[in-house]
Amino acid sequence: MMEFIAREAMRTGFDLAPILVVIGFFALRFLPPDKALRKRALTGAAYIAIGLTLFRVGLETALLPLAGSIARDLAADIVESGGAAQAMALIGFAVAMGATAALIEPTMAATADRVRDLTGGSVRPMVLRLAVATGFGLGLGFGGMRLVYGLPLGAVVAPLVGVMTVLALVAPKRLTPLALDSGAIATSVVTVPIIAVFGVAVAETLPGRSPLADGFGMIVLAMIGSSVSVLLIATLVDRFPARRPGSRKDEGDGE
Amino acid sequence: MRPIASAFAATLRDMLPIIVTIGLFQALVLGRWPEDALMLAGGSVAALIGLTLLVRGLESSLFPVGEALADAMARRGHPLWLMGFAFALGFGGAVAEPALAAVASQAARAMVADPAFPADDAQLSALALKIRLGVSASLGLALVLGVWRILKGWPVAALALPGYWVLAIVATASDAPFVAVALDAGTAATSAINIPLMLALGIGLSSVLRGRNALADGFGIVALASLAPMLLFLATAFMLVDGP
Repeated sequence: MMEFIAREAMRTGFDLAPILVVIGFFALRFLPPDKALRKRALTGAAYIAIGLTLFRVGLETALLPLAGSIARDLAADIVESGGAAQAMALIGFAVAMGATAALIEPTMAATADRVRDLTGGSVRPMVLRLAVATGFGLGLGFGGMRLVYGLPLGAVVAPLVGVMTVLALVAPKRLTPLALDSGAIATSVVTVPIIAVFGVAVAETLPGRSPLADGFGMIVLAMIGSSVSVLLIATLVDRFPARRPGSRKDEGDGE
Repeated sequence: MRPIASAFAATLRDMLPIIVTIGLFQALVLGRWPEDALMLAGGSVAALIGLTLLVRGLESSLFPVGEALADAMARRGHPLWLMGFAFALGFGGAVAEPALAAVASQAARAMVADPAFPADDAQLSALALKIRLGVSASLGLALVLGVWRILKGWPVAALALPGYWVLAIVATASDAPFVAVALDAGTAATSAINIPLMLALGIGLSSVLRGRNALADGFGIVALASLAPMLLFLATAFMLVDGP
């Protein structure tokens, strides 16, 4: 166990060290010596180092093995009885797992708080995070469907990209960049390993699927799904402001 | 910043849905309880504490430092310094990333799974290293492009959407295994540490520039940074397969 924790701590070190060097170099060159900021930055870096290590230890001892064993059993049910209900259970698990994992993604949580400050509260963090989580879950559901029925990746990616393009044209301009970013922001420390475990477990269990060829292609769907969902909700909220009770819009609605 | 106790409560609230999901599927769909309950409980507590500290660290350190740096460089530095910072952030943040190392070796294997392109172990790890360096460089360039875009005021959709169209076309035209690997590789080089810094760079820069808005112009760098590795993986794979 100690060895395992040490390995996770080393991984965190590899993540953090080059960034600290880059930041340190440019901070010395450009930032005035500000003791308060330096202290805050170093305390924060310690939080990140400890937090990331503890979180990965927790992920690997609890969340990943559980998600993997559930996915394996659900896939085994499909192999045994092969009904539509069993396929639905597996796809439903992909949706639920994707949505709930995206909800605890720390990068997304921190970003949503920052967006709240930038917009003076008009984009509420939980609304943004729920929009991302919904799209993430649905994207992963498409990935699960692809895995179960053996659809080609292009058949799922191309329509989603088409929808994203149309929505990007009609969505409010000030939210489009955030929406395009949010898919990538939501695919990070929690969601990527969970998707990998799910994809490999299902691809290994279903006959005629190989983990190498079929286990991949889920992350990109979840990513595009999140962006589509944020674009869609931004458009709806923008077009039908009255539908969101208690919304505080910072722009006039032209009424 | 909120007190630590309420931060833990917020994390617990965030974690409840995933715990309920796992519990429901365990109990109702599969009708069994996991062994090793103690280990699972310990792991969940570790995840809860880790997650709380991580979010707090990101908010209290990476965001303010990144924004302060972008702000100072936009005010006092030559644009070349800004570009240099963007490239260093992209390259440095990716090159040592363990997830990228893992995906690079998987991608190398998927590429040579093509029977027309046999390879031994040494060639495989050399290819993986090249992919790693290439992806890191592509990330650096994506950040430079992202900063350039903010300086010029170009809309991010005009850059990102064509990238996605290429992905959609390639995924439709080819069902080679490496296409799926390449499309998933977009997130391999972006992590919980470099994503907040990319956001801070964009937000800090567009807050200081006249006529730019932190929300409308500051975001978009992460989207470019995740597209760049995908396109680079695809280009590498096709060059290798079609080459002599």
